[in-house]
Amino acid sequence: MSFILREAEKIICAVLFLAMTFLGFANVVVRYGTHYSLAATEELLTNGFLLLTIFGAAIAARRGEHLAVGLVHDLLPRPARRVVFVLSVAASVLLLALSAWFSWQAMTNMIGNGMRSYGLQIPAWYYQAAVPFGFALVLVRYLQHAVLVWRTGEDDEVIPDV
Amino acid sequence: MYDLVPGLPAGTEMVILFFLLLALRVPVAFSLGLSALYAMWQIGFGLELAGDLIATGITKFSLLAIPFFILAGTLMGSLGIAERMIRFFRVLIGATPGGMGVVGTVVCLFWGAVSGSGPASVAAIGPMIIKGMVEDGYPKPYAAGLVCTGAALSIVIPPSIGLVIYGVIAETSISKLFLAAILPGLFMGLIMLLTLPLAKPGGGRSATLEALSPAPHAGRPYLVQLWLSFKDSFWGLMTPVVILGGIYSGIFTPTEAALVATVYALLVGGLIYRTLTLRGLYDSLSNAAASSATVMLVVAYASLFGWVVTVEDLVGSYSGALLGLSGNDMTILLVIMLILLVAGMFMDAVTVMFICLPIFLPVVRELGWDPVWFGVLVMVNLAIGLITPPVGINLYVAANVTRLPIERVARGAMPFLLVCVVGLVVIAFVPQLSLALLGPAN
Repeated sequence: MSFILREAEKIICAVLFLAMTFLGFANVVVRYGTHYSLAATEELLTNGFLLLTIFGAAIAARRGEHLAVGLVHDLLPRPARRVVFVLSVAASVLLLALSAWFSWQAMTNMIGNGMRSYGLQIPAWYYQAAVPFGFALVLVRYLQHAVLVWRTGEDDEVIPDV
Repeated sequence: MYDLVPGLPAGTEMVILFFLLLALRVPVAFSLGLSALYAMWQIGFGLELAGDLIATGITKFSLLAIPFFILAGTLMGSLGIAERMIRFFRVLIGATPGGMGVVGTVVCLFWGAVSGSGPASVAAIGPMIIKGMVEDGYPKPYAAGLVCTGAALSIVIPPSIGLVIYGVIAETSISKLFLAAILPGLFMGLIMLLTLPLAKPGGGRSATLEALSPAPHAGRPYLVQLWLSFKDSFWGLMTPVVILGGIYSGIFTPTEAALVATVYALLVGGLIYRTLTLRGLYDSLSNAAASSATVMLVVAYASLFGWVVTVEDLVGSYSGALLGLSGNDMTILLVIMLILLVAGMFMDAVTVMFICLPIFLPVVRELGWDPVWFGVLVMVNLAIGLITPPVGINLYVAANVTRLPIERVARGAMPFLLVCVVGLVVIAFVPQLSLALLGPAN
C-alpha cells in the first residue's frame, strides 16, 4: 500500500504511456493499411497526453526537476537565500493551487453545459476530472521536495529537456 | 483591486512579474503561469477560461510527438543501443591518432537523429564518449565541451522537440522543418571537427585499438572486428533511417514517426538485444513521462501567457519596434539573433520560443522570410544557448556526469562556441543549406 502511495504517479504514467504507445501504433498501422483514421483514438491519445503531463509533472516535482534559473539566488548570501527559497515555494504553491481550482471549475462547467467529446461523443468532463486532482498531487510532491531541500540544505541539479 | 505598478498595462506588468519570479528561482513554467494569471485577474476576464486554456494548450495532436520521441530516446539509451553504436564507430575510426574526437562528434550527430533533446543526449552518451576521449589523450574539459556541443545539435538534427514546438507556434509543417534541419545540423557537426587539432597539439598520446575499452573483439583482424561491431550496432544505426526515412518518404507524420520509433526501440530491446527488463521499462516510462512533463508544463502555462499577450496586443508594438529599427533586413536579422542568443543564455529553449516567437514571426512574415529557414536558424541559436553560461543546461548535465566544476566545462566548450557562431552565420547567409532537401517547390 505504501508502495502504491509513494509511486502513484509513476504507476499511472507508466500504464498510461504504454497504453498510449500501443493505441497510437495501432492507429498508425490501421491508417497506413486502410487510409482510415480514427478520430476516437486521436481523442484518447491527446487526452491521455494531458493526464500524462500532469502526473508526469508530479514525478518531476518530487525530484525537483522543474527547471528554474538560480542565477540571482546563487549570488545571494546564505540567509537571503532562505528567504528567496520560501518566497519561491509560496509562489509555486499558489500557482499549483490555482491551477487545481481552475481545472476543477473547467470540469464543473463541462458538466453544466453538457459538452461532449468530438470523437467518442462521451461527456467531455470525463477527461478533465482527473486534472484538478493531478495538480493537487503535483502540489503535494512539490512540497515534499521543498521540505527535503529545506532540511538538508541541498539542492539536486535540475535537468530539463530541451 | 491590488495593482502591482499602478498605471502600467496588465500585459507589461505580466512580463515584469515573470522576470521577477524567474529571479526568485520559481520554476520557469510556474513563473509563466502565475504572471499570466495575475494579468488575467487585472484585466478582469480570462480567469474563467484558465482551466480550459491549460488543457487545450496540451491536447494537440502534433505535440504528441514530444513524449514519444523522449520515450524512444530514453529507451534507446537504457537498452545498450548507444554503447553498441559507440563501439562500432570506435572500431571504424577510433584507431587513428585523435580518432576518438571524431568518433565522439559522429556519435553525437547520430544520436541527434535518435533523440530530440540536448540535455538528455548529454546524459545518454556523454559519459561513454568522454571516457573514450580521455583514454585517447584528450583533456577532460575539452571532451566534456565536445559532448555538450554535439548533444546540443540534438535539437537541430531531427527529430527535435524544439522544432515540434516551433512548428506548432509558427503553424509551419513540422515535417518540412525536420527535413530542412538535416543539412545545417550535419554542417555544424562537421565544423566542430575543426577544433580537434587545437585540443591535441602534436598528436598527443593516442591509444591503440587494443587499449580502448570496451572492445570485446580485440585481437581479431580489423575487418572482422569491424563486421562484428557493425552487426551488433546495426539495429541502433537503423533508427535514424526508420525515423527520417519514414518522414522523408511521406509515410509518417512526425507524431507517427515518434510512435513507430518507440515501438521499434521496444522491439529491438525486447526481441533482438534482449536487454529490456520489466524494471527497466517501468523506469524508462516514468522517467520519460517526467521529462516530457517538464517541457509540456512550460507549454501549458505558456498558452495562458500567450492568451494575455494576444488580448493585450503586446505583440504588435514590439514587432513594430523591431521592424522600425532599420530598413535593412540583415540588421533586423542580426538583432533577432542577438536577442535569441542572449535569451538562450538565461532561459530554456521552449520558454524562449514562447516568449520571443510571437514577436518575431510577424516580422518574418512582413519581410517575406521563409519560416522554415527561420525555424532552423532559431534552433541553431537555441542550441548555442544550451552551451552558454550562466544557464547553459548542457554544461550543467556534463558537469554532473564528469564531476568537473561547471566553469571548467564551460571553458572546454569555448572553442566550440566560437565555431558554432561561425556556423550560425553561414546558415543565416546560405538559406540553400536549409532549403535544399525540401525540393524545387520551395
